[in-house]
Amino acid sequence: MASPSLPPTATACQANNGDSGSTAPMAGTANGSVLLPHDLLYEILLRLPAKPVCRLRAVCRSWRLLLSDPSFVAAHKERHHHHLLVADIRWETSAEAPRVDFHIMDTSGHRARQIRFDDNPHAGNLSWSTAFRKRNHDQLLCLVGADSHARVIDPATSVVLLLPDDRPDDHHYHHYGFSRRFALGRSSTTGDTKVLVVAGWYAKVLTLGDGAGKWQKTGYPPVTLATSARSVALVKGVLYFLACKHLGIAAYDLEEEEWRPDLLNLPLPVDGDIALAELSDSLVAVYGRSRIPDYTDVFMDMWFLTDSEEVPWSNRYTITMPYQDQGCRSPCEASRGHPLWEMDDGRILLWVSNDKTRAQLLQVYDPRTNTYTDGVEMSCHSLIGVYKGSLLAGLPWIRNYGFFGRIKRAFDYSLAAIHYFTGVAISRST
Amino acid sequence: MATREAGKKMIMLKSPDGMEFEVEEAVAMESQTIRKMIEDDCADTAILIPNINSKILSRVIEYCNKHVPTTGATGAAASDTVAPAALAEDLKIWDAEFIKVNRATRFDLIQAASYLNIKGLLDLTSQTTIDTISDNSLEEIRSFLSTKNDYLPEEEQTIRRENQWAFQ
Repeated sequence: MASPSLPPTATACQANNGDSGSTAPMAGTANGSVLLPHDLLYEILLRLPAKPVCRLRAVCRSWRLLLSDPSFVAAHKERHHHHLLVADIRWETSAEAPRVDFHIMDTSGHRARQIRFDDNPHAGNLSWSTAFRKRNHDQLLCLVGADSHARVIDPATSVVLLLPDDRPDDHHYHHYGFSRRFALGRSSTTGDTKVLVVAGWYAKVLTLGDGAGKWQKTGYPPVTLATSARSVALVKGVLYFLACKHLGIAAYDLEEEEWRPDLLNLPLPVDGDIALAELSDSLVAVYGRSRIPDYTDVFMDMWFLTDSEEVPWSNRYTITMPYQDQGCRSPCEASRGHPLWEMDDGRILLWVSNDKTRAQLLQVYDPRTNTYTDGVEMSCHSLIGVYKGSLLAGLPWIRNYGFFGRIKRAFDYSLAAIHYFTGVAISRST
Repeated sequence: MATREAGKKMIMLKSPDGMEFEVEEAVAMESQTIRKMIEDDCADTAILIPNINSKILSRVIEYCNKHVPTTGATGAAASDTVAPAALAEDLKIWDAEFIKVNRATRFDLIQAASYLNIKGLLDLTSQTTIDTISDNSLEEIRSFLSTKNDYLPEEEQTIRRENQWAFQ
């Protein structure tokens, strides 16, 4: 009786016939008998993290061609999209300004890349300075170039783009000080990356591109915007800002370069912590709440904005925070969390912070089992965001990454004001 | 889809060098390629596996035997069943032992896993190669993959500079 047989594949054929003069990389033995056909080698290379891939470009010419090829870079990005971007901000005791290191890491805390910005303006690098506003003992930390210019940084290439000065040509701000909020995002249809700045009395927008670009006047927001770093989210080319006093959500369309006339209503009145986030291309309103006045029972509601007009918000997750604290007097002292990323397998990466214990952790939450993985402990000087670009390509200005966090320093309690997107890191100065 | 009885249905796998392996159908179906054949009723009594010699095929079967979902978990979704932590830990130790083979065997196993579409085995064998590539120097990688450095010294310097962060 004839046995059925599996058809041989190209892979199998190649293994038998060897490489027929192709320039594609091939793993073989010195005596010429091929061990691993190149399509399988390609598969394995796609599984490699970005760092060894970049290192392997120095192996030989054909490898460099392959590993720099746009199709490889695109396929690699599919597999490795979403890295965490962590800005680790440390103060040298002798220095006025902090040193800023950007780390790009995976969810288990393995570092993929580090970019260091020393506070040395003469080196042409980004320089940072801090200014503390001492009012109500509640200080806002400002991270701003020493020259008050905003920068945009490409983590894949470490390219720093110095933005032109957005400030009007008068000197009011020198006298009184004023705050500027920067937000950066990519228009969903044209793909242009734009920077929006909202200052005390003007708003401007800048399109990043090959040319120098100029700030163009744009509409002023219909409402005063909240200032916390977690109060802004970019979803499909629209920047959403929480309004002051929780009046609603203002929306700026980066494509049209205009504010939507109507505020979006919040799903619930705010009783505790509120923030905006982007998960799986949806706007999410994140509520930190407690059923008990002493905040020993903190949970987090995640309301997703839907397309429906009748029921615009849907409460998709209610998560009990992994750490509950005793004796908190205000919601500010209780644990709070923020969703960073809804992974392909449905698990959610959360940033969890507790002001009382000064802990800052990354934890992966599984909604199906209602469990957390062990957290990756972050430095209390860290700002955390999710980076969605490829570390292999030097294609600047086409990435989206949200960025927020919390910074603490001995005796200082400072809310990090790196507002959305690395490098565009200015909020307030004195 | 072929229905499976509680009793163990056996399948004959034949390697091109003439060896025959009788395995439980559930074990053979760890391979998505074979599963498809069985479900399409293309497999009768024996299946010829081309290009995978008996030495490698026996190792693949050993792997599938270990990784087939244990009794109680039946049906098509069986492979999705989450194993208890202890069992998972045991499997991990077993895998680590299993993959302690020379490079040629590992490359053969990668090819077999890819061809037979056994995800777990492909992940395991690939990861070992990835670890080798990640942990070793460029010179060691070149020798491991039998590739020659065809850069001029100044070219190599340029490439290293362009990808400087990867060498830190």
